[in-house]
Amino acid sequence: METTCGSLLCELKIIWDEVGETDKDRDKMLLELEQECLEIYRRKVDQANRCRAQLRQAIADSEAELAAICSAMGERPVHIRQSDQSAGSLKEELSKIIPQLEEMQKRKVERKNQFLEVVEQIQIISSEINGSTSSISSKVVVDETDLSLRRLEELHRQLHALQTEKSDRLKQIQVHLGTLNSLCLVLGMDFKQTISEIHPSLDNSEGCKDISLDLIERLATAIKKFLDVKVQRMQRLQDLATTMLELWNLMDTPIEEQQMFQNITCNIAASEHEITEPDTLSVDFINYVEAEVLRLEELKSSKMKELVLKKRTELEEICRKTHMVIEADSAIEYAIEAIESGVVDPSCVLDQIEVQVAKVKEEAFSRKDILERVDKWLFACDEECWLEEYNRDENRYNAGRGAHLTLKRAEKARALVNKLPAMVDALASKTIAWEKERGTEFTYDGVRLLSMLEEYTILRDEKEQERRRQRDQKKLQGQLMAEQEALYGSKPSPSKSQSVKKGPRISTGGASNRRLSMQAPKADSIHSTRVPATPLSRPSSRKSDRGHQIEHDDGLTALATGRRNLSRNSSFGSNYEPESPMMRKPFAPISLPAENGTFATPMKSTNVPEEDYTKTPKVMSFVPATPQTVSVPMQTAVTPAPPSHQPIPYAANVAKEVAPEEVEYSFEEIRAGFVLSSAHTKSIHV
Amino acid sequence: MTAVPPPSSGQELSNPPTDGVSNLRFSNHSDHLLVSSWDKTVRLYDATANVLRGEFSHGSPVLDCCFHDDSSGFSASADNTVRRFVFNSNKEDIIGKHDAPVRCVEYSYAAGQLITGSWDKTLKCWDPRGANGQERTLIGTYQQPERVYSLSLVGNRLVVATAGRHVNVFDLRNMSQPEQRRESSLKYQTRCVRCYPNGTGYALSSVEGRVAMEFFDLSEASQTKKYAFKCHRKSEAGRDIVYPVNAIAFHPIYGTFATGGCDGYVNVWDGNNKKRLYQYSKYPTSIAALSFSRDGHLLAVASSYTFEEGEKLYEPASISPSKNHHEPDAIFVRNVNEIEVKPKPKVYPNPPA
Repeated sequence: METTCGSLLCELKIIWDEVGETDKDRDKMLLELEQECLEIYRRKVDQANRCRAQLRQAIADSEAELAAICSAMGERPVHIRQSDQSAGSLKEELSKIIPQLEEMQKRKVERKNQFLEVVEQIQIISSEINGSTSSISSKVVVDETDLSLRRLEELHRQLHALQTEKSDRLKQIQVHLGTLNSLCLVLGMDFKQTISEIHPSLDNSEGCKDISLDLIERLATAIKKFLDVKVQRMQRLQDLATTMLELWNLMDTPIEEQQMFQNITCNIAASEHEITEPDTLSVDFINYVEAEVLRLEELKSSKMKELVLKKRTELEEICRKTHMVIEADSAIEYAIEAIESGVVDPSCVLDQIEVQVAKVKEEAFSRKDILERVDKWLFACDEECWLEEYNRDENRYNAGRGAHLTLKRAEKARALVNKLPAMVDALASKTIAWEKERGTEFTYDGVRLLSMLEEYTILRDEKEQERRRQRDQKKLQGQLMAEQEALYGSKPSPSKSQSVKKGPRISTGGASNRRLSMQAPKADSIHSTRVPATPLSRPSSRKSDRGHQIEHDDGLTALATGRRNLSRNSSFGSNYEPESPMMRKPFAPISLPAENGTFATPMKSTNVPEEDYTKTPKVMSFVPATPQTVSVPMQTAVTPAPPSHQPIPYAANVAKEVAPEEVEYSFEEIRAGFVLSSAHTKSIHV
Repeated sequence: MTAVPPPSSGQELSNPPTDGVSNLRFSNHSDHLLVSSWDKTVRLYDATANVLRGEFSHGSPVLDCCFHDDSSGFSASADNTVRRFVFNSNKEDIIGKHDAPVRCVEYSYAAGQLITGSWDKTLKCWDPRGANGQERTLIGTYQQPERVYSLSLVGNRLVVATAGRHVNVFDLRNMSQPEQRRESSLKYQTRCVRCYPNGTGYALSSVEGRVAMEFFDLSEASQTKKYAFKCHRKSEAGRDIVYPVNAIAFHPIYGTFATGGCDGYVNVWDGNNKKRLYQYSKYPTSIAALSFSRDGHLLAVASSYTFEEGEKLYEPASISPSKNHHEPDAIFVRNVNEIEVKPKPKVYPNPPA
């Protein structure tokens, strides 16, 4: 430079020399040059100065921005300027700060985006919750001054809370919808229509769902409304069902008819939540039930008269059974007329009758004990009458068919008649007690029972006197007869008129009569064909033979000895009949005489008549070769016959042959050749 | 007597044993019939099809047999052995031995035991499930007062009839001593004892045409019900002939029972009402054994000489009806009508005959 300036000056000097400039001009030119140079310097320095200031400003700006970002993000500033310590020039400093700043700016943008996202969601959800669809702002505003993580977290929490609330509401809506659905089902309403009325968005399953509180509120009110309806209808239905049941009960409606409405009547006591079946409370269904009830009611009114009559017959039946007299008979008659004319409500009359029936039933129960005794007494009286008639029959011990039955009955009747006075007394005391307790008279078919008893007692006493009188007369007659005998030596034979014979038969009553007639032909055949029976010693030996049987029959034997002997003899006699050999076919079993041990007894009864002497000989004469289905009594015996002459053809003989030492052997042992060793024989009968 | 029995006797089984039948039994599960015989065999028949299903030969006469289940059975042999045979495989093995011929064998379903009675005066109980060999199968040996002639089981009760007219009643659960020791109420040798299906007592028959009906319950009320009756007798030319009663079989449903005697007759009795319900037409020779099928619709009758008159040869009667010949051994299976076995309630007074 110096050189260039110096050389330039030299050149100038040379030029000037040549030109021949004056010194003054020369000085002036040099000053001018000098001033111009200075000006140029000054300008440059100013320029540099300005540039430095700009740099400084830039650094400061950057630092400030950095600080601002850091503070906004809630972070400590990364760069803290230490001015004195600053190592490098301003430019270095700036170049250091710029990337930091850029980094922070990038982070800030990211953070801001996060915020934006969250806030946007919050806004969406809250708008959903609040139900203000329109208020979703197009622009999401984020407060740039606070982008700290804490704030972000806060926002997240807020979002989460909102989300929870949303899902809660969704759930609640779902629950409400479910309830609503079941209610609609039960009430028979269209669910879809119902919910679309509440909110159109509910209908489409996929579409955005309104979850505002308002909607929930509306759902809840709808549910409440439906519930009210349900309860109302349920009560209505239950009322109908109750009526229906009453009507059924009243009219004895057949089960098949009831079956159709079983699903209603089964809900009669159900509470609201128990009724879940679809359509049970629909309007149609209730109408249907109502129609049925109406039908039944119509039926009822048409049947009412019938019912009243039925109840009345029931009442009469009870009265008849218990021998009571209906008091309010005429009242009921009147009531029926009233019903016919439509003056009185039939159900009222029905109630009245029912009350009466209950009353009568109660009374009948209290009368039961006495009535049973009355029945017994009346029966005993009947038997007494019969017995009297029977006793009057002179031929009553005759050997007629079935006479043993009559005898038996007479025996029973006698026992009964003996008990009669005691029976009457007991009955009277019972009746008196009853009357005292109830304060009314005990009537039997309208007649006071006590007076009946009294009458009977009087009658009985009279009869007793009559009988005594007769007995005295008889005695007198006997004396007279004895006197006559003493005088004339002959005794008048007691007359037996055959005509009386039929008498007792008639009086024996239906059952025994039938038996008699049933047996008649058999007995007749015996009587007609048999050889006169000669009493043999047989019966006694037979008796022991028959063992147990006879013991069982002893009671009967005592009852009807005379009659029995006759019939027994008759059956024996039949053994001697001409046809008897035919009866005893070769294989016909015979009984062994037990006592005397001889098997060739002339008396051989077939095994038949042992137990049932009423059986005819015809029954006995079975031929074994042709199997019969007629059952034949067994020949039972307590003990087997003594062994002495017993015809045991095989076992005994064989035993003698093979075992002289009296050891008995079975057929199998003999066949197998089995012989007891001496050791064995010794132990026999140990 | 005719060799061909009247058709009412029932169907005669083909391939009958060639010697006396000692016993026959229907299965509890089918209409199979097991028959033991003096011809040393045990035969298995299908009674409805009239087919011989199997035959098992023994070394000695077989005195008794019984079913185990439908596929196996047991036999009691005169060679002192107790055998088991499996029908399908034709296998047989010896379960054990007595000291004398084994007279009877019974299998108790209640106890799962086999009970055998022998002329060695013992009763033995066996567990047939045990492996072969006496030491493994034998449960116990119980001394009896005499040679065992007949056994019968009902539930856990076992009635043992022996020679000398002893009757012991055991409880299978306690065999150490008899529950009851009795003497036969009949005066002659016991032939057969059979328990009532209802378990209240037993029927016992003797060689002298008599059957006793007994009750287990020793109370007075029960004992007064017992009785005996005569049967299987005949009178010929003023002489009474009394025949042994070889067999008793109870109807499984009605509780009535059939008896078979050496007279060749089978009688059906109603023990409760003391009535004879039916008599089947005469069989060619003695009735050796009887058995009702499980449902009581069939009755198997063994018509087979039981040696009551000593040695006799078999020869058809048509050749010479000599005394020393007997009719062929035959088994008849007859269909039982309800009317033959159903008890008729006692009526009083009697209905018209």
